[in-house]
Amino acid sequence: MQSRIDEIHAAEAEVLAICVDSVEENAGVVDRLKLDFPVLSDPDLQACDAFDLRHKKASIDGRDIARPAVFILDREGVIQWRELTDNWRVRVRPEKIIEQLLAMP
Amino acid sequence: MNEKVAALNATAEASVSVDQPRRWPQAVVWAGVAITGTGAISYFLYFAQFPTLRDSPWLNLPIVLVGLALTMVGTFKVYAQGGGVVSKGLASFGVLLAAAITGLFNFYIFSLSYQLPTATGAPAVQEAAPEFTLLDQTGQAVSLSDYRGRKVALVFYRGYW
Repeated sequence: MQSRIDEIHAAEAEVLAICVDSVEENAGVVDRLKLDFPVLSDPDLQACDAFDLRHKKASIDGRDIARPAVFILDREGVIQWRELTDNWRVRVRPEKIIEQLLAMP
Repeated sequence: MNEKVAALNATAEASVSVDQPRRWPQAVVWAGVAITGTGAISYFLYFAQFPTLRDSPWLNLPIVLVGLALTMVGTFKVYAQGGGVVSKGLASFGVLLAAAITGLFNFYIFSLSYQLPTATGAPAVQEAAPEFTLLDQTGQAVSLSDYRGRKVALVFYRGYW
């Protein structure tokens, strides 16, 4: 995702990443991978529940985490595209996301 | 006395010459175990960060299977050469170990990682995305509504990067 972030910003879009890890853990990742987009911490699964993405006891230490998903929103916050993969190892490719973003006004 | 010494020497020579070829099958077995283990572990520790190698493990799965095959070839040879109980037991254990690693790896790739909840309540296309406010990596509060006017790609990650 980071490798294509300039194209995403050029398309007048932003990437918002969400996971249950803490602010500190996310800060470590942002530093390590030099990310140019916000990584939001959702330890109580507030956003995950709002999007019905809670995956119970799925982390190595038995915590609830998010199941992977991508939602693309237009400028009014309406969902225009979404992808919920059927396998947690498979991530949505940045190319797909850019394709969708460019196709939107 | 000379006959006994001669007999002992002959036995010693025989066992020395038989020991050399006996060593390599066992080594092959354990090389196989090492390869299987490396193939499996390297997927998680290294290769999984590359999408093309992660989605379909066409690199790691063959490595794991090659390792398993080596353990079988080596063990077959150990048995064929009429090795002792210890050699046979060791080799058989090697096969079981490699088979267990292979089984677990395959289970993870082909079964476990498909076990996701159905998310029937996830908002659909043309619905408004639910609002939320969360802290970003600098501790600053960020709301989804902050991004009105811009397009947004909202990416949910499992975590544990």
